[in-house]
Amino acid sequence: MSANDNNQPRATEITVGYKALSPSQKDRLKKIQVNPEEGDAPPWDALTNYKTVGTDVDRIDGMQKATGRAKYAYDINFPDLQQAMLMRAPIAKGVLKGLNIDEAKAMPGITAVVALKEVGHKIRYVGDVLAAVSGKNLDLVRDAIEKIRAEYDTQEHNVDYLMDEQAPLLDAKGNVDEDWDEHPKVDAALTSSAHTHTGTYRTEVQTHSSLETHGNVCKWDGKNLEVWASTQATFGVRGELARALGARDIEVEAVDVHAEYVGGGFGSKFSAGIEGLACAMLAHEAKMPVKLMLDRFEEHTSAGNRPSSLMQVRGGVDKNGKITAWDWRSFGGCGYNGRGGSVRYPNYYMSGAATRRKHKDIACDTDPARSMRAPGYPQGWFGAEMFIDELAKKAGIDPLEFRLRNDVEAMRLDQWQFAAEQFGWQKAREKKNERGARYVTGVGCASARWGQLGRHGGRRMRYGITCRIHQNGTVEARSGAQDIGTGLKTVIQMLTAEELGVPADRVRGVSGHTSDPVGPGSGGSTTTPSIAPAVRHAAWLAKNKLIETVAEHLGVPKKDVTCADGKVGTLSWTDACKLIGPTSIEVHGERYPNYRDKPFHPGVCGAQFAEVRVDTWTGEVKVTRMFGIQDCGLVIAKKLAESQVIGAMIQGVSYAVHEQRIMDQRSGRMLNGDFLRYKITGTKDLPDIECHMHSVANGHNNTGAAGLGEPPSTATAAAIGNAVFHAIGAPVRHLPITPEKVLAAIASK
Amino acid sequence: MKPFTYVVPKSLDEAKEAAAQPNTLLKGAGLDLVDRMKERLQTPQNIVNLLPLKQDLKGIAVEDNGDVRIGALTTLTEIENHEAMQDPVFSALVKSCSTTGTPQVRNRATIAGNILQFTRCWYVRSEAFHCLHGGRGPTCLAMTGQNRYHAVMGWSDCVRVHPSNVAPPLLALGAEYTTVKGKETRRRKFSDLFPAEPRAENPEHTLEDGEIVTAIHIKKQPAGVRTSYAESREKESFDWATTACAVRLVMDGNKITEADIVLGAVAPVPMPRPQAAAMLVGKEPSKRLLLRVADMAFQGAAPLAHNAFKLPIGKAVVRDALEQATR
Amino acid sequence: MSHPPDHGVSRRSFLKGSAVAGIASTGITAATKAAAGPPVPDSFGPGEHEISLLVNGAKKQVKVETRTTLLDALRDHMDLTGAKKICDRGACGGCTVLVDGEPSNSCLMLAMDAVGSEVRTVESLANGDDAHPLVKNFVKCDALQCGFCTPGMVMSSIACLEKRGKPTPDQMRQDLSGNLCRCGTYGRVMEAITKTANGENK
Repeated sequence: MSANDNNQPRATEITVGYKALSPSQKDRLKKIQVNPEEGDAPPWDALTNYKTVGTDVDRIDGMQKATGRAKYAYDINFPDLQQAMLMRAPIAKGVLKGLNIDEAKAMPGITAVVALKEVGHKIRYVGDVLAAVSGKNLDLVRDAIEKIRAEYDTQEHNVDYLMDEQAPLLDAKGNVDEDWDEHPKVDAALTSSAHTHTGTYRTEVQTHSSLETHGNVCKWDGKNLEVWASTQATFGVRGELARALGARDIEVEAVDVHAEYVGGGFGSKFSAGIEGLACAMLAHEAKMPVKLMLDRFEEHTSAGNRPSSLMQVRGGVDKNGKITAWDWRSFGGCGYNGRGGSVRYPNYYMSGAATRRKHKDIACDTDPARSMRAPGYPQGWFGAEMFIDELAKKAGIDPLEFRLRNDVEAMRLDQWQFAAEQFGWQKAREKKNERGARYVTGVGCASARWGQLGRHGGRRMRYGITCRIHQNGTVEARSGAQDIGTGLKTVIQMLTAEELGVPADRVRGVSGHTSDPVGPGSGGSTTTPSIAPAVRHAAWLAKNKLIETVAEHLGVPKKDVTCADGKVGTLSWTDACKLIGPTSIEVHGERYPNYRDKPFHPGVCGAQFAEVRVDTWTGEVKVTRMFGIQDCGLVIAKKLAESQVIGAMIQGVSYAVHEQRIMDQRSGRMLNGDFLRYKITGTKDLPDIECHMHSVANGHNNTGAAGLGEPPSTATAAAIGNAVFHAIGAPVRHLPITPEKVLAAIASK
Repeated sequence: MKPFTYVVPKSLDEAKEAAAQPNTLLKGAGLDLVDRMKERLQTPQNIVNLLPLKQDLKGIAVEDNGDVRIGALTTLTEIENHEAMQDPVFSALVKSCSTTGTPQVRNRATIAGNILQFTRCWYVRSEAFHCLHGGRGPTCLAMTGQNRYHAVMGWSDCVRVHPSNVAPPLLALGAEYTTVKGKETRRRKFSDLFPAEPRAENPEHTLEDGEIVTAIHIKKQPAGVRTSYAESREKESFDWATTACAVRLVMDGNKITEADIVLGAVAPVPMPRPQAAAMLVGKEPSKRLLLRVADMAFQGAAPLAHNAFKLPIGKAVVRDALEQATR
Repeated sequence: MSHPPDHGVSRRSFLKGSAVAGIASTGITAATKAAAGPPVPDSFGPGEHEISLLVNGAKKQVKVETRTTLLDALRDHMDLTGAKKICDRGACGGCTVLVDGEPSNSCLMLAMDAVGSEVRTVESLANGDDAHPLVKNFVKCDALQCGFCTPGMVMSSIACLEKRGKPTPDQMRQDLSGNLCRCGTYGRVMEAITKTANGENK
């Protein structure tokens, strides 16, 4: 089927898969049957001849960002704008006995004070929000916060999950020192294995560290509330605020949310949060617009995090190097709600094995977890992929070869081979470090996996897109969802341009305002795969209307008019559009559900390779180069997709060697809640990174785009851990891989 | 920040007068001061801005006797790039400047401000903690708390570390410093700037109220002098050293005739290691000798619960600095 | 630079009356000085007063307190919101502006400290549809994702170019080492600098 077909879709045969990744590999194409729903645009597939999709179109809002013109929530200003801050409990656990805001309210320059909790409230972590203040400037607000009188009944707290009574016992080396429960299949498989191994792996808490902190500007107009939010869920914030305000007896009719530009989220910005509610309440009381943005310490300590983890694996292989037993028990170091710490592992390696998986979340008196870029995956992948390298070493098998023998995901087998070639795996692996050399190098690899093929919306409503063609030949396509840096606006632009057969710069892609059609929150890497088919559908409907118009004008049947390559029938695009007249073509496209038929692949696959150089004197690790291959179904905005993958890999480097939250047990407070000692990778820590976008026609809907933000996050730390293992000959099983851990590992050899 | 009066002296005399007032702090670039004022740990009534006094307080000059005078307000970037500082004699000083902070910080940070800055202990620098050194609590919180980045030697009732990279090379070079206060001008040995037995009650330096550092002096060095600076950190782009070492040697052919070793980031003050340095005098450098000297540099160290790692890494850093200086 | 042991209020012996700035060639003057006696330094604040800042080539009057940082003056009082408040402690470079040509953390500068200096912000690099080649190359190379670190990156990058002409990779890494990016755009920022140095996309 070509991209220009204007017939109604029906039971259709399409070609899915991908062309050979390299001359030494085969094409992986096959024909499948799909059954699109009545009314949907016909599907693109592996044979589609794209003009715009897959090319290096510039990010549509790049200029706004590079010139500093882009206005984020943090930048919104009004002449009578008030500044606001939250008042927070300084203790980690206890009960609020009294809260008096009278003195604060009376201070000059203070325009509103709201109590957010009542006497009897259970305080659950340092930073628990109790009240909020708005005033002329933040210094006055801070003075006022100091005047809020709060009394507490303090209780004992614990901020180290390993000190909790639910935590496993560890021996002197930090390995879990508890018996394994019986499991006949696993026990038998272990007994009959040619080689067995066990290891305990740990990761520390990572904070999202979005550069723009959480926060909002709220402005009331009667009962209507306008919000500029730093959020990754415009519609989520809208609904939440409406409900939360109602629950506080504040009448609200319409809530409008703007999030045209958002300075990062990485999973932490789905909710309006107490900061959003507080901002709206303050603005309501002050009768003036209010800006409430968290500061950096608050961002580290009350905006969620990736929990810490402890994982123990024992497993075995047969004499052919196939995994026969895999016994996994893991613990998540969570916040006060004891949730969100679950870890996954790459189960495509042990499909033939006897497996067991147990996980327990452990609570402690800290800020609860929020999903952070592939929640549970980077932790579990680190543990599992490192264990695999250690097991492979015991079995005397090269770790890549070991993976090729065990990985059942055919697509990744091609990726492993391709990436290994590009990276120069064999040569790097064979290179021997000089005995007693100060600097040693090593290489490692790990798999990437994710499973997001997009959602169509809820029971009552499907995601939508408005598409308009104007008589001057310009086009706009609009979504109410948000672009948090993933490039949604550009994706919208490119898909629309492709469908209409016009160059990308004819199309304006717009996102971020809730007056436009509903879209998903940017979570789970669902935005692009969820929106893309709706974009296509809207463009396809608009195209059909234009074709109708032209056909009528030319006096020919519709089926004889093609819209492609800048022409509509025999007319140029410009001339065709002139026929539209002053009332633009406007259509509403919708997101049909994914086809019920089995697509080429249920998820997305990737692989990453890393090289490190270790200073054996100081333990310093430098990640010198990395190679990543990543599929995301149809690659639409190629330059932007690469940015996503490279960006995820850099975050992975940071997670592997730099980042950890450090808590003070006595006070329950974070000690490195800044960017001095919460260390994020900068330019001098950077490896050379190459990435290859693997475009796959997956055949799961009319476009076939899959999620991209999270998959590359799964592999990086694991690949780096394995590279360090290779370099020094001993595993460092605890992230971040800081110098003292490296020296300890070397000493333990 | 709390409100304050911003005082702009037009001359060093006006600055001295203003500095003598109560509740008054001096400001160079203000990188350390503004940071602590944002935390509301410093709430001076008056801040005297020294930056306009470029004539008196800025600039690098080689004097007639070969001494080098560095004005107190000279920025770290200016030191890095100055012609006079390209002489290898100053390589330790230049390197310690270039590893400090970020380009943005170095463009404003003054050499005096860097040496005099407050420690970076995460307890004392946070409004939420009340500790002994900060004058707000009865004990040193780091001693029994999280002390990963804290002292491994030279501590008694406070385990802070001196945060300056630049101080160890200056100490190793036997630098001097000039201060003015009221009608007095004094020039002293650089080691006088740091408390001899740094307890919690001591500030990071020995300046009196109203005393203004005007210049750092590096005496003309003998022929055959070599200097080097090495450090280890957890992150390359921008980080504080976990351990640092400055070395000054005088070599006659392949024989070491003078040696100074000063450690940074391991104690409340920059730590000279004369015993370790003495092992080098009269000898020719060898791998074995350098290893033993590095060991000796950490002899008697008293690490805390979380920073024992500073010992092996510190020794490696000493080795590094020695190897660089004897190359 | 000294540590007064107490922070209580006491007499200010040198300041006569409140100080309100007027405009002079240096940008600020105290309205009142001692009539006679030893020379008295000028003093300002603590309340609001007007100063003159030279920003992007133009003199701008702005009302600040002595405790207002340069960053807050730019963002809140001059609608120059390009420079961002990210850590507010000089650790991330998001607030980077050029002060007399040198990248500086505006969050740790008092607005008063910028009087008499030339301040350049990201807004100086584009005018309507016209943009500096570096800015165009940022877009071409996709050297931005969420965009929040981008203004600071651009300013550090432009200083790098102006200082070095054709910077090497190591020099770029060094000059950008004070700018944090959570999205991971570093590599592409350096590509943009290189392209600009090579005269591409004028």
